[in-house]
Amino acid sequence: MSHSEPIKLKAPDHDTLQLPASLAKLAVPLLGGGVLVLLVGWAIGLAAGEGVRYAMLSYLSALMFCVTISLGALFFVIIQHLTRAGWSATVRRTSELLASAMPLLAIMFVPILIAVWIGGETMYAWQGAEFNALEVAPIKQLYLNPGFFTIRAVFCFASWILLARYFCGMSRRQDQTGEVQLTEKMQFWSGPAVFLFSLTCSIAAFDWIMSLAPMWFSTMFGVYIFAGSILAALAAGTALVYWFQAQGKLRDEVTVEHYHDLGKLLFGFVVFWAYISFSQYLLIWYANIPEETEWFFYRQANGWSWVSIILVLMHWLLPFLALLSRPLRRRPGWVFGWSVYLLLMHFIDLFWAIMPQASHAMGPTGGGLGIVSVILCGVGMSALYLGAVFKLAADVPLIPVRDPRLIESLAFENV
Amino acid sequence: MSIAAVQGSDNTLERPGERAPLVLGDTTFHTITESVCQIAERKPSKLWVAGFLVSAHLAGFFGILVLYLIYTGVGVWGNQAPVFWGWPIVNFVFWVGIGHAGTLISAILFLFRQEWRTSINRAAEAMTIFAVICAGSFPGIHVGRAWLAYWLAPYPSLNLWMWPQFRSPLLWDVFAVSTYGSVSAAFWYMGMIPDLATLRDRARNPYRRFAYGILALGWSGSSRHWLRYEKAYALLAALAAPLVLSVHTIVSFDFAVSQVPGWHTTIFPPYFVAGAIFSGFAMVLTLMIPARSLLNLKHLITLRHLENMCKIILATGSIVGLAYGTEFFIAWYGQVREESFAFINRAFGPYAWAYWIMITCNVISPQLFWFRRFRTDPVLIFIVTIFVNIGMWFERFVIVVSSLSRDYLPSAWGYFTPTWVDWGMLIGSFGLFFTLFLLFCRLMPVINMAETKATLAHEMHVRHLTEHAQHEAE
Repeated sequence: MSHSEPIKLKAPDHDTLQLPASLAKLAVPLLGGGVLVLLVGWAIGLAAGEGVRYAMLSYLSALMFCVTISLGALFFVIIQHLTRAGWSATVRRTSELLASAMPLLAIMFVPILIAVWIGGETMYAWQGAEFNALEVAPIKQLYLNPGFFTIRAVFCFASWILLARYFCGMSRRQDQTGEVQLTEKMQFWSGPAVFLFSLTCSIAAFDWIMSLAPMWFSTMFGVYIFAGSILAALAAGTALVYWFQAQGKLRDEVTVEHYHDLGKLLFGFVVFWAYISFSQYLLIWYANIPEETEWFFYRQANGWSWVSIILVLMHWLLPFLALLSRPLRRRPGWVFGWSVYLLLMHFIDLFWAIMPQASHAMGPTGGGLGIVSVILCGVGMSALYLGAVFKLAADVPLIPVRDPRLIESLAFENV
Repeated sequence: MSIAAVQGSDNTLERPGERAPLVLGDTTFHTITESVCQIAERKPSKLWVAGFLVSAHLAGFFGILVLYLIYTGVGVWGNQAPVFWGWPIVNFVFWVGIGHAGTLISAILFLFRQEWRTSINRAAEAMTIFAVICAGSFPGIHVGRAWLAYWLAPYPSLNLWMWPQFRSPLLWDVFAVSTYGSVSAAFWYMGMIPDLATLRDRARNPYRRFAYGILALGWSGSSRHWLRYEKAYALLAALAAPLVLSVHTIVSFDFAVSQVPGWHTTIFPPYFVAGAIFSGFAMVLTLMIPARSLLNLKHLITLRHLENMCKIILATGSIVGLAYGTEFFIAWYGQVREESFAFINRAFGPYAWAYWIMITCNVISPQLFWFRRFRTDPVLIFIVTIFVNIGMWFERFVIVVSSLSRDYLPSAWGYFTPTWVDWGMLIGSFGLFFTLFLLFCRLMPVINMAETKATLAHEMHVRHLTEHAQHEAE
């Protein structure tokens, strides 16, 4: 904890604290290219052979990938204030940027709402003819109907945008004023913020992903999406910080110690994700009740079992063994590599949770065209999101330059 | 970073950029040794003797009831069709839950570099082990023929020529709880070795010196010893951390792998773990608040320690509340008749009284900890933690009894009534728990002196640096 040399803080406009020019220039091409690729991906989805639903679910997978990253980053920021963490000040701004892009994702959610309002077979099976014929349909539709669905979606996005604006805005204000009270205020609101977050995160998981299989239910589902979100956000944050460093920025601010800690957190959430997903699977498999096994049955047939096995081996086992290693966690390049890898795994996880509801008969490849659509949508949406993050980062210091705990973060060492 | 200035005994405030001190007053290394060691060295107080006599009698009563049960049969309990898992299992889950705070504090908070754990980890770990002992006794006698309980061990039994049922979570429980108990005990004991050596070195009575000498394993405090100690401690912490999660996860599997409505729900594993931490911290506070006054340890177990634990209680209590809400919502959303019925029956059926006690104590009462006033007044904290202890016992009662008493077959429905033996065993297990805890307070170093001194050394170092910097500036 102690440091022999006194630490000197840099001025907010110091060159090494700014977004690398090469990345700033990327923002507009990423935004434009992202939209283009996304549109192409969506259009290919239409041709995949399962109608509009395939294209919409492909779009949803991509959107959920970015939403979960943004959400996880928001949670990371809030929890740093809640726990008054000292180590993380230098890496917090990156997460603030990831969370601040939420309004864009809210706009990107509008196509989903349009699909829900069109109804029928366009998106969610709870609007389909097959579901309407069921005896329980009228009761379940008290919750699963376009109006209420929209209200909840607006509530969720409004809450997240509000939280992101508050925590990131205050932190930005502190860059200018250096007021310690701002940190105190954020600490004060961090408790209620987690409360609101956990509620909205559960609603989002149930509404947007779980209800794709309208008769299926799992009380764990919110926690499952939450676990993946945090992992993805940690991975995205770590990868971005490394990227900035590779361009010559933040060299003095983010040290091996921070990578070591981020590596530990990545390891922890790899395990947490596996714990939650495995528990959910085991309990449903063991009790073997048809209403519940249906969901996993879809994911064990027509080639989907391969995706399930890939998740077990590559979303859990491989990163578990790798990140167990302390020398690895203390090599920034390796931590970066595993972060990118885990982001890919997170995408496969969401793909596995969403796409079988569109095409379980066609298998994970979606007849060839399907998988192209999913990949293009994923790439397009991610580019769009990243472009927005770079745009937001354009004239913002990459660390909270006058955070009262910055010195503690700069000085800290793993014992 | 600097250390916050403290007025009086309230160290709960720190400005961002400062860290509040965790050791208060004019404490030195020597006074830490004195204030901890003399608890084990002086003559027991009258209050201790009185407390010990009461709890030891209750523990003895528990033993007699166990003998009575074994002699007579499990009919002495209220367990009857359809509720075959009555109070013994409720008590088991309750006590296992209590036993979660200690290892969480010593392992997980260690890995998270939470320095405030240093002065509370020892007693919390001891409490953990005693709670696991109380917990373990219930399934042992609940098997009915307690003299055959060893059949749970994984070997092909000579009488039956078969292995135990490995597919049953009840057997996983045997492994989970015994692993947890043994690793926690090893962790606790290992952490105590330097302090036991201190007690050995201070002992005047040769028997005492001999006993502590045996326990201290020849500890000399050399840097080689410390090096190995620190390594072993970090490794054990890493090994113990997953155990904190695994035990109650597997306990939750006991219920959740079944098809009983109200038991089979996928959120059980994390929700049980959160509940266990919730109840464990409540019990730590229930014990610590009187102990820190009676043993004069307020400068080491400070208000800040209490406040931090209150925050953990608030967080885990709210997680538990969210889980209750999620269960209820999904029971409706799923539109499975039996599932919806189980939850409506919980809240409005014959056990509604238990359900609402649970909600009041577990979800509503910890919400008081949103207010600083409630987190910083030991008396108020104590009252809330009692509510939490009660609430968590009722949670297990609600889960076990309300689900079993009305499942798929209405013709088999029943109402569970405890007998005097059920009551006696619950009270008796508290007797056992307090007896062990009181003995611990008398015989062992109740605070980790070595680690607390390291915390103090760190604070002194930071203060020194700050003063030095100020001088330079002048």
